[in-house]
Amino acid sequence: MLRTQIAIAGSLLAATASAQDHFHMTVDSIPTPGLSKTVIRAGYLGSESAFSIADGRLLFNGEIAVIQIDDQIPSGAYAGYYGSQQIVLTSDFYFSTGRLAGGNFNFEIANVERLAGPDSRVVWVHTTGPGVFSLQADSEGATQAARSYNVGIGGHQHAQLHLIENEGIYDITFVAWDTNGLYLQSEAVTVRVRAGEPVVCLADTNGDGAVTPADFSAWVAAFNSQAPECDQNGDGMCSPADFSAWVANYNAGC
Amino acid sequence: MRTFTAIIVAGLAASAAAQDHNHLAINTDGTNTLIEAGYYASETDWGIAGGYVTYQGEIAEYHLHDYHDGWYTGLTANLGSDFFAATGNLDGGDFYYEIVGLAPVDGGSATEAIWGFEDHHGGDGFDIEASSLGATRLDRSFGVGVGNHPHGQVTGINGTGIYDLTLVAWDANGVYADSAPVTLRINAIPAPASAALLGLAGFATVRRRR
Repeated sequence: MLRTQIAIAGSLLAATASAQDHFHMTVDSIPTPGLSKTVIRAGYLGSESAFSIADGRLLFNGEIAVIQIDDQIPSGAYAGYYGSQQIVLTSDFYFSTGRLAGGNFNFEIANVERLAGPDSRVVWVHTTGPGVFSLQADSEGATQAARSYNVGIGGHQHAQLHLIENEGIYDITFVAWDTNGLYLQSEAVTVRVRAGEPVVCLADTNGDGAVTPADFSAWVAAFNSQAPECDQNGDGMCSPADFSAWVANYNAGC
Repeated sequence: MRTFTAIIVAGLAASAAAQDHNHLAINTDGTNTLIEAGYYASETDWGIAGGYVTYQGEIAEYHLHDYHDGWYTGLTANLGSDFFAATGNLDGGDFYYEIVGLAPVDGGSATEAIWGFEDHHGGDGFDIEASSLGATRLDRSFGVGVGNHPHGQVTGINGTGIYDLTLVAWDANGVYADSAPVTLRINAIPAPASAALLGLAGFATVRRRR
């Protein structure tokens, strides 16, 4: 194949994702007693075998995938939001198997967990022109439908973007569900995104921007609830060893 | 004939909605490669008939509005090998779409058609993957492998006018025989308004630098 570079002056294309810059999550189903169950899958495209889903998390080469989002929206309703096209939600890949027959599928933004940075709204939009976005799903939506991005059946929408309100690190949890009610809701799948270059201050467990004794109480609460803030030594687990790590982080300051 | 605006202006608008482009996919009957269209839920108006990509039963015409450095570009058909991969119909294949023909229909003087990718890696432009003038079959071919759906595909032509661009799908592994040719009708149309908008619209997103 030829590999020739042709310049296009003034293009906005640099802000969009290429085949290597994005990945797909699609719906499938598995037979279960009664209604079949919706399943969220990744890594099925030939070029995306490094992606997978295990224990409810999106992985890349077996480790938690972190989707880095650097671009910001300069103006309009989502000014300041971080945006990308890296996560593509679809219902096409398994449609031809017949396993999705009769469904009308949606990806609900079921939860947004703050790991660093302030609490953040996450929206899914379509681009309808340069800088013009049409809201499709909102993590703060009042209903499941309002929080959901509809992919229908056999759908593969190219112009979808996800926008993150603030700089930070967030775990976005999705649930796939069928508006037609022919398939049970999927298990949750969590995708980690990193918007911008947030300063991570692990000892600031309560996220108030300061390292104070109050963070100890917050860490204890995180430990008891097995919240992500509990993991102070970065081993991906919440264990008593994180207490020592929190003390070290506290003494180190931020 | 039905016409479609493949790209309104460059940039994020070029990541066109489902209505602005369609998909072609590889399938097989166990022996032969097939090019199919119209299988997406939102694309049931599309089809292939008489060797042409059609929309609502008529020959579809894709418009290429973007222009730079002698090339008219736009999104036309998105070439993929994903849709039927899960059925097992494509097992063992390694598929390509070869540009086998470029024929003027109405006043065209173009001599070359290309298929490529938008460049998203810091540069402005696109990468040519396949050219109608390529010396080898691989040079004329856009690779989609098995189970792939590359985004950001660009079709380009080096002149105005209406042309028939013909593709043949083939399997580099030799498991499946070549497809029948399928022709896309493209219309390279200068769009001064679009060029002006490029300078005025500003970036939909900007790279944050620290």
